[in-house]
Amino acid sequence: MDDSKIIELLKVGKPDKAFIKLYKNYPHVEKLILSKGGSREDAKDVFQEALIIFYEKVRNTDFKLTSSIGTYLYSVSRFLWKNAMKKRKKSVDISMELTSEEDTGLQEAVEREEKFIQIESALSQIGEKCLNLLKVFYYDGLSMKAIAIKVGLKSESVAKNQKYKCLERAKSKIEIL
Amino acid sequence: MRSELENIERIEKYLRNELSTEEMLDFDEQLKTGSALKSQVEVQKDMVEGIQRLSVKQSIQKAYSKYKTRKIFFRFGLGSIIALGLVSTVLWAGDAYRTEEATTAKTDEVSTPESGSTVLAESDFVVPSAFMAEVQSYEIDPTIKIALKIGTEGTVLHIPKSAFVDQEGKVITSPVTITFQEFKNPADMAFSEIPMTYAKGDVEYNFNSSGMFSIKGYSDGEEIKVNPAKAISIDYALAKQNADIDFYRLKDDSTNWDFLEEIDELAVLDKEFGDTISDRAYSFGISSEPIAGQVNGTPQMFLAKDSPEGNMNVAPTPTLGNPITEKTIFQYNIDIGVDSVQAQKNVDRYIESTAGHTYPPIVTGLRINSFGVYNCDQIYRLRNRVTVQPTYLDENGNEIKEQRMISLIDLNVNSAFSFSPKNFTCNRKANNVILLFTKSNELYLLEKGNFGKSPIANNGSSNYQMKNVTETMSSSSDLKAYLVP
Repeated sequence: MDDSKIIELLKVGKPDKAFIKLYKNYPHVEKLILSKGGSREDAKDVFQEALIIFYEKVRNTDFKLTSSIGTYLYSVSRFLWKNAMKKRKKSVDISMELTSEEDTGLQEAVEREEKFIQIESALSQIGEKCLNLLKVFYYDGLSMKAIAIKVGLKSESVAKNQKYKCLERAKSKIEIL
Repeated sequence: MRSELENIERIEKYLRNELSTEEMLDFDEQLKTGSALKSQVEVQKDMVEGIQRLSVKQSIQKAYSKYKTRKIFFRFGLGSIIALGLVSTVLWAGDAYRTEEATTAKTDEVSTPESGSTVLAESDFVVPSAFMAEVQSYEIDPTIKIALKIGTEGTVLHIPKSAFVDQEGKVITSPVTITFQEFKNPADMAFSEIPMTYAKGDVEYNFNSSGMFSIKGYSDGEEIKVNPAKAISIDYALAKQNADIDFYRLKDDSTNWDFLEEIDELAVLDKEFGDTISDRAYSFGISSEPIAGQVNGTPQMFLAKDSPEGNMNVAPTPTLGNPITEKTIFQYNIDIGVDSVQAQKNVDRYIESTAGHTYPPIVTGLRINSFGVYNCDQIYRLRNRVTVQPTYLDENGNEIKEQRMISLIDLNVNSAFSFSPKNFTCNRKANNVILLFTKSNELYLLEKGNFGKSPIANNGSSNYQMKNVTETMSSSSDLKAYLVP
């Protein structure tokens, strides 16, 4: 599968398949992290974050790939690892070849990740059913009618009501953060 | 004062741009003056984004697990694996374990149509057993891990120990009978009464099957369940290799199917990817073991080694440097985590190409979390849809009496659709064949080519000239010989 197909899959909301394909780039990144003082667990985390950044870029912006996806993920991972080391107050010898524009973009992405880490942990406390319902609506983009059928609720309006209740629950969890 | 729920609803509508102009203006006004509302909007926006990010992370996590299971493993064949001492705990329960008595005993039990499984609910008719797909039955010891070989085409069921529980959830230790019934072609499916449509959202799709099977378990005469803490998996020999196959399970109430997973296609590696075989860098990761594969149809060994970029090079040793002239197929064994034996069984073929894809003859590691009916399918939308109000006529031009059920088969699709004889929906331009059973077990056939010759009126009515084939078609195999010669 070539890069444009992977981007297409992400754009049309079929990320599962795309991510599987993107993992082909993982060994490369793992090798980098291991050689720069990180563990396998670090490598896994860094690569996952790089995938999220890539995903959001493709989904939210008019993203034009200037290199191959593999190169892009590698550069982002390198940035993320350097950043992580900085936080751990360790210096690391990684040369950066990013343009300042890319650099700023990545800095923002890292800040976003930090902001959302708490929100996500609050959300994961609202119960599996609620989370699933919100997921199929906001992520899979199913209609309320389809959701009602899928999760076994009586009608569209019951599903809608349930969705608001789940949002309320999520909100209360976030507010006590 | 608005309730919290109303507030949430209003903000949601604002964010999704679903407020009326008036409401929107009102909302904007409030936003300007009230900081509380503003921060609530922010929270709600973050929430939605958080849900999306969480979902993406789950998807990535899934991809990571899948990646990990794809550790390349060299396939020597079972004998060598045993020689390597990797399979000491596995028992191959092949044909030797198949008990004929159990087969007979279970056939009756399984072939009875389940209540509510179709539109047909009358109790005075049972599909003659000769038209039911054969039920294979295997007796196993559930206290040990087993790789159960089913049939002769490579289907294997991987059963960990303590994989079954009774209705109360207690782990079963007494002998277990596993029954396996396969529906590979339209003849097997014709009277199975298994619905071959799939509703996704508001849209109904039809199945084009690459193989369907029913798997059940019994112990001491009682139906048992799969232990939720253990997963059994199946390496399934596909009946047909369609494009875009997914794996489905029929809901217990038979109303619809649950989508379980996509079946990985084979990537196709061809000359578009490089001039010579040695140029090809592969990044499946991890292993330095050699890989079995083939080039232009000839089996060969491949060496996988780390390339300077950290990727894997897969190169066929004997023909290193040879130009790739035709499609090259790499065949891998894929390791499932720590289980080396599964690795041996998990043959997967990877081919990579822009030129499309194909499927391996055996798809490996499909998870079976509960007993039931499973289907590897391509889904498609029915074209030229028409609902027909049929009149079935016998050879003398009289309407056939005591109609019981029909099965409609589009000869271009690996499927069969059961209907009540009163009406059915189909593609009016398809190469359809209709089979009609009467309550007295007479079987009538609308022969190939005759569907198109029977005009369908605007109100859907149509006359079908059927042929009584009770004598000549008395079993699934007769039917198969006619449908898929």
